Amino acid sequence: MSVSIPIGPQHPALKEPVNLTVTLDGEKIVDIDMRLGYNHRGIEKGSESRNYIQNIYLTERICGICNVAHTTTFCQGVEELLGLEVPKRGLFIRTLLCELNRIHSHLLWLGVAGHEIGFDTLFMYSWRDREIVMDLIEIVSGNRVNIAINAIGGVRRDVSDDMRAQILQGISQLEARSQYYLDVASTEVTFLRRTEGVGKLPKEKAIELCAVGPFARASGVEYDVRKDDPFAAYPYLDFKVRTSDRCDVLGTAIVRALEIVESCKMCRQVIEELPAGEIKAKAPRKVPPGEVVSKTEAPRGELIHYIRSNGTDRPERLKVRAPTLANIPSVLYSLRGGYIADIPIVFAAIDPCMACMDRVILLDTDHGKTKRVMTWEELRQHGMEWYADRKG
Amino acid sequence: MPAENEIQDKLKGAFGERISELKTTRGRRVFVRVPPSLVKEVISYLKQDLGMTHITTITATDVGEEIEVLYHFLCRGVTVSLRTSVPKANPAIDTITPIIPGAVLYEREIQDLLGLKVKGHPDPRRLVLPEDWPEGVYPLRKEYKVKVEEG
Repeated sequence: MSVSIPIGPQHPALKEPVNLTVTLDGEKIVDIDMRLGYNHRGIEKGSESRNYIQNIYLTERICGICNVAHTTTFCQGVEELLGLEVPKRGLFIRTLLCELNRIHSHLLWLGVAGHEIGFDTLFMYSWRDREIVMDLIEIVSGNRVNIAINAIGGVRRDVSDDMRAQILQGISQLEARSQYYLDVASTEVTFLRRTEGVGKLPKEKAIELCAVGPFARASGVEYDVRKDDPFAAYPYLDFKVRTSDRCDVLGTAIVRALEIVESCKMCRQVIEELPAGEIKAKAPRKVPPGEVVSKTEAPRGELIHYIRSNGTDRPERLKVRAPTLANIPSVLYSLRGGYIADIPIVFAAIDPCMACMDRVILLDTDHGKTKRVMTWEELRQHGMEWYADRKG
Repeated sequence: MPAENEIQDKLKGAFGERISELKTTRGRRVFVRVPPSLVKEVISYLKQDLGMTHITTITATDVGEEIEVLYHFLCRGVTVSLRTSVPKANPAIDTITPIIPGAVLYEREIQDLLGLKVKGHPDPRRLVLPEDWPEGVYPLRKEYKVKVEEG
């Protein structure tokens, strides 16, 4: 006999809202279904009523973790529409921030993964080390989270010689730590026992279901936009695309740990070879009519923005597909046949980011009538009345 | 020969006059327009003859009288964007999920947000809009205006 249980949208094991309906036979998952959309904010629609400069900051807010990837994708798309050549120094600084962002995202993931398998020491360690990279991001951009470094035509802040020394020092520390995490991911018994053979995704399935990013690379799919469709300063950098043929959660951990090592190398190379010159080209406010497909490799995988311009200062259409959505069919596949206790870690293997994935919602039309959106004051009043009615 | 030129030549050779607006905007970007009735055939050709395995996403845009659909594929390292248009009065298109299973969620997304009916879709439920969202209201269509409220 099988039982169906709902998990979420609000659940202690989930970090962001999503609803899973799990059909179980005993402890085994027979089938699993997912309902998305709890975090849809209408960003694609919102972009159509904002100008290109405002849209940089709107796309920045699609995701707090991979914000550099989103603004890079958007800015380079608009630059292509404008036929604007970005100064090489600008491209290098942009790439530096992309890679620092990736290190921070992967360390964050490692912590979450540790937490999901009950290995909170790993969580504490990796989030402590994540502070190193957060500090580096702050040194360059002035901010820790939404860093607002990208502009159409380049970047907003330069990297001084003083900063370069600090970054190199931070990178050395991170390199040592990432070696340690690589050891943990490949030898630590607790970690291995909870991740080895869990959440299996064979290579053929990863290809068939169009998985992307470290999740796909852990199943041996060698696809990385940085290598296959190079953007920013990646054509000038020397790096390897890291893959694993393990096809399980352990594989994703190993791939991410190896990617941290590669990213550290790239940051070092960017700092050492930083070309002299301007950091930003001047961009006009109006964009000639056209369309562009802009792609980057976000920390979670292939990210695409499609931008269509109509000659004004606002886009006609901005379409965003964040990597988490691309990985949903594959993660549902890899959950089937597993145990219910493994759901959090298998789901975490794609490093899900609901905010990225759900972009469009909150509207107030209800059968032609306007549904009321309460003000804070009204909500407060409503709350007091609600309790007064029930308590007398 | 660069991959984008090769893909362009192959498509031209296989479909001739039936496809139009074939262009390479820059390295690794090919755009092509096909009539809605030919979409499945061209996608099958890309998959079987050119080794395409990956769909990046589907963009649907309200362009006035029509809804334009752009399928973004990855084929030999080139992003091939396959364009087709359907009338807005009766927007419907055949599903491509049986050919390329990775398209399943993207088709549901455009169905939700632009009201483009995907015929034969294996799982046509709502994807992103809430359960109490009114029928027949499609937020990404141009006639849908966002009301700004204070509060």
